[in-house]
Amino acid sequence: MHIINYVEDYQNFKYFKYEKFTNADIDTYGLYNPVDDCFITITTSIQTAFILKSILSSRYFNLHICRINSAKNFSSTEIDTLSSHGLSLSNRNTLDLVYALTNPTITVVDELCITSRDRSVSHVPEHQWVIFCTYWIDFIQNSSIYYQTDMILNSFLQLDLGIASDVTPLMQQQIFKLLYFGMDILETEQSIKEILGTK
Amino acid sequence: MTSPCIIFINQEFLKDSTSEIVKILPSYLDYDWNNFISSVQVEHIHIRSGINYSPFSNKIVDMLALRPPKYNPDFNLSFAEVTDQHLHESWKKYSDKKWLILWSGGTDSTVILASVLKNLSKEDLTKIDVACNRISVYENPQFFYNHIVPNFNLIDSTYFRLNHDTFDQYYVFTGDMAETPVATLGGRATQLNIDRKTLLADWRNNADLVISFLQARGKDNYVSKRSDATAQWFYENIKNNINSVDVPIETCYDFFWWSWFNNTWVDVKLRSLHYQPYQTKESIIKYLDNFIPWFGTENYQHWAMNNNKIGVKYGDRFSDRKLALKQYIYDFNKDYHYFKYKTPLDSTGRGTIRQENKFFCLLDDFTPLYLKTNMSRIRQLLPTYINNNL
Repeated sequence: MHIINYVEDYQNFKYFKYEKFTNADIDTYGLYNPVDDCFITITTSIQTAFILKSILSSRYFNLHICRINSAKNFSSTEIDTLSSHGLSLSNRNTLDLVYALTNPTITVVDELCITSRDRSVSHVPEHQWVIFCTYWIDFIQNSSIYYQTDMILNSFLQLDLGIASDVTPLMQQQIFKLLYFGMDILETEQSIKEILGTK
Repeated sequence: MTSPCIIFINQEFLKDSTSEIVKILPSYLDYDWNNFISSVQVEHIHIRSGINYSPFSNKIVDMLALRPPKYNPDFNLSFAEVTDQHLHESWKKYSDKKWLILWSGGTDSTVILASVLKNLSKEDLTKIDVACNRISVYENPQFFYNHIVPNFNLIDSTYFRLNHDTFDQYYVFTGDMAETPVATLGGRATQLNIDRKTLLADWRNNADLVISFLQARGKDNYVSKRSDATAQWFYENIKNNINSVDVPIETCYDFFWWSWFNNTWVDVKLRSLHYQPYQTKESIIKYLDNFIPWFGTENYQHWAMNNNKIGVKYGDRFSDRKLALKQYIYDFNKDYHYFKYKTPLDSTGRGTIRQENKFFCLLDDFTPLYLKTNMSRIRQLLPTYINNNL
């Protein structure tokens, strides 16, 4: 199955990082948007997928984390950073569309298929926003080796003590909030840099 | 003095096939109770108009003025005109107390707030409070921060109860009835993601198709299902009901809409009562006087009967199910993502009340009876509630 790529739309977008997903042994997740019947992004990090699902819920409301390396045609499908908007899943009728926001289920994809959405409609600005969010979510997650542990433990310990990191918990919260409400990449980027003191 | 009679039963109780009330019902009438009760699993049935094929009297429809208006093909107000007009009329009619708007973050209650913000002055807004919870914010964060926080006093609805004190202080507005007059399809059918071709098919020539959707086919994980026989039974009854009314019901869409519009209105009108335990006659009367489902007006019903059209009520995407409402909100706040991507989510605002603490039925003076404490009286009065026209 060949998916149309639009490399020229992304080659000047500085947050874009081309990646191919070919190894079916590596768990790979697509964030599925049923309104457009396509994956809005693909990632091998389940943590990134969960954070993206929540952060992007301010725009898409109804997103589903799907494990796509389970698809019987995963290896024979050309899957890369650009093709997600052209792909759907054969078992989309099993998705729980009503409790999308709260349902933590990871849908195991039976088979990947071509989206039913109108592919003449450009998704580039929307896709760029998702790529932008992914970059900053990964940036925050990679800012400290203690990120995940700290996120869970200090949510209930509420320690009034610091942790060595370039991105403090307060900065993380502020950046996530900007991503949650943001609409414009340049404006949001500027605000993030101000928070990080890197402008 | 005439003896009291039952005017309404909470059909939620009929879902429990082991309950005493379900066991005794068939003794009252030679009727197809199995199919009726199976249908109630999916949607509660109180017929407002046309042949009453339910086994129960629909006296409450007239008592509470819940019949649909006579179909008027000349009704030409747009959804926005109906909404704006309703807001101005309501603002005059309900002016002696503050308003409390229950905002879930969903489309229905957001329409109320959009109309308030569009049509009232800043000073008027001080007479309106908004109740919501965290999930409401997650459902519509842009609207919350851009329009609710700057304009309204907020009340946390998490532990909120609709009681005497609330109704002494407020008229309480909800987005109820939007699903019934406005939504694209009847209730659970909304969740089935039925394609345009099916929706626009002539229901009279596609009985098998309609019956298959009445079975809620296409979903396995959460939609209640009817059996083949029950779906067939339900289809035949709705068909006879449709043939007895003067409303244009041509497509499969119309069919599902009508079934929901005609059958579930009464239940939706009263359902919020069931989320407060141990109701009394006084509390029920207060509720009826002060709890106002925004979309329960004649004009919304006129609009609904005249606008079962693609591009008006619904579109091709499954997020287009309440298109007119979304269009109204979009015209107000220009939130493209909400307009395009917001999908219906199950309401989160209601608490869980134990079944035994809910009333089973209402008498004609609005006295509630409970299965646990009033069973003998219920058994005595139930025959008066049986639909003698069957």
